[in-house]
This record gives sequence, structure tokens and C-alpha cells, in this order.
Amino acid sequence: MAVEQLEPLACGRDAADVWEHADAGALDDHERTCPHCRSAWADHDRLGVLVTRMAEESRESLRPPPSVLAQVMGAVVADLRPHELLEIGPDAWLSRPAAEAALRHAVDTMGGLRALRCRVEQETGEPDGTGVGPRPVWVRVTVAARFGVDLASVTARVRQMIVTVGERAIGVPVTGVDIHVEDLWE
Amino acid sequence: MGVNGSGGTRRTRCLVSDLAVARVAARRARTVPGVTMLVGDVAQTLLGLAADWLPHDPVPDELRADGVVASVQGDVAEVRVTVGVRLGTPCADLAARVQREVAEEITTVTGLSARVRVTVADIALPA
Repeated sequence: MAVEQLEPLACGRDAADVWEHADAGALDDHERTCPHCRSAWADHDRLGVLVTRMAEESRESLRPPPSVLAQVMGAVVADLRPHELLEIGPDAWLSRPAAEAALRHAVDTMGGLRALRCRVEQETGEPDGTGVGPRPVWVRVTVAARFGVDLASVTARVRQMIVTVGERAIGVPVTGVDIHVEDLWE
Repeated sequence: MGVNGSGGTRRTRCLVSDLAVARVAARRARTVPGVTMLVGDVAQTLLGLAADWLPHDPVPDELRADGVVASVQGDVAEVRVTVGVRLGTPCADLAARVQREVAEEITTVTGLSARVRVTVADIALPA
């Protein structure tokens, strides 16, 4: 195992030794008068004060604020891996889960439909035919429809909504939409 | 980075840190219309939470660099900006605008040229 070699203080003493001696109340003459050693044990004292103060604070005041969980969860969700990104321009990407959520939301706003799942796949290879825009995407959406809704017209409505949101709000051309009506409700 | 200058036999170099560039980038990115927030990664978030519990010199909100990672190599800054937007904001156009404005700001403030990569990590949906 590699052992990290730490730089000694400018006077040649090891800061860890100075801290140990300060802990034990056994500072020698050099450590009490040398400016480098004094700085080291002053650090030790400052840390001691901080730790003591935090330990003395009531349990109530150390309770994490309610926003902590939201902040951490937001960061975890935003920690995207490459396959979770859609390319929307040179050096520009969009979270695939965010795009899928936006498309599901758009479908949810349509009367008589609920979006159950949505998957956005971006074509591989070169950018679009013009060579400047992002590569197009294919969207697969699973919906539940209210009983009695004309399923044939649902297809056209969902397709139009997906294409419009994809191209206007997300910024990627939509080449195809697969719509799977998985369930009906009354 | 090294900026300038020689006057006579004396030379001066100005070095700009990664953090300073990140702060410049974050401040500008927040002002781009359509950007609702900058989204920090897990490490930035945890460090930010820890910092809230320790005594420190307060950083004004406008200079917080969460959501931006910068790396300065020579005269070039590589910057990653992660943003959140509101539903309806054209993401591709917004990303291009963030790239342009942040790169210009970094060049104006620091003299560095900048390559800015933008990720839209979140689209805020109506409640």
C-alpha cells in the first residue's frame, strides 16, 4: 500500500506530532515559541472550538431542513449518464427523462387520454440532412383512453401533439411516433 | 491562463482559477431568459449542503457556481453548464443562447476563450 508522504512544517516538525502534543498538553519549548508550530496548534484549537460548539448545539437545530432531501434527489435525478442524453445541438444535450416527462405531460393535457409511458430514441449516425440540426428522434408512447373515445382519431391527435412539442419545445425533429393504447377507462 | 503583458523588461501574468470562471459562467447563465435554475450534480449538492453547516464567508447567491464545472487549460476554458427550463422553452435554442452568452461573458471578464457545453437536465412542468 502506498503511504502518502506529508510535507513537514517549515521548521521541520510534523504537524501531526504538534497536534498530539497539544492534545496531551505536552508542547515542548520549541513548539510553544516557533511560529510554524504555534500556527499548527492554533489550527488544532480552532477545530476543537468548532467541534465543541457543534456538539453542544441542540439536536433540534441540527435537524436537516426539509429542502435537503429535495436537493439531493434533484441532484441524483440530474446526474445523467451518456445514454440518458439527447443531442440537441453542437455541445448541447437534453435529459432524455426530462424530454419524456414533457411529452407525457403534453399527452395528459389532451382530453380522454392519460399517458402511461413514453420513450424517446434518437437516431444514430450523422445529424439531420442539413448537417446543422440535431438528429431526429422516434417516440414511443403508451396511453390509456377513456372508453368511447375514437381510437382512430386518438392516433392522429397524439401524433400531432408529440411532433409539435418535440419540435417546438424540445428542439428535435420527430420522425416517427408509435402509439400503444394499453388500457381503457370509463 | 496567461493574460498579457510586457512593458519594458517586466512581464505580468494573470491566472484565473477554474472556480472564478465557473462563477462568471453561472452568473451569466442564470440571466438567460428561460433558464429557471442551474442544476448541480451530486457532489456539488452535497458539498453545498455541508458548507451550509460550517462557518464560511457567505457567497452571494448570484455568484454560486452550482451547476457549472469549469476547467482552464492555457488560454482556453472548458465549461459545462447544467440548466433547468420551463416547459415550452425551446430547449435547443436556449442551449445555443446559453453557449453564446456564457462564452462571450467569460472572454469579456477573463480574456479566455471558452468552449461551453450545455445540458438541459430538467423541464419544469406546470403543477
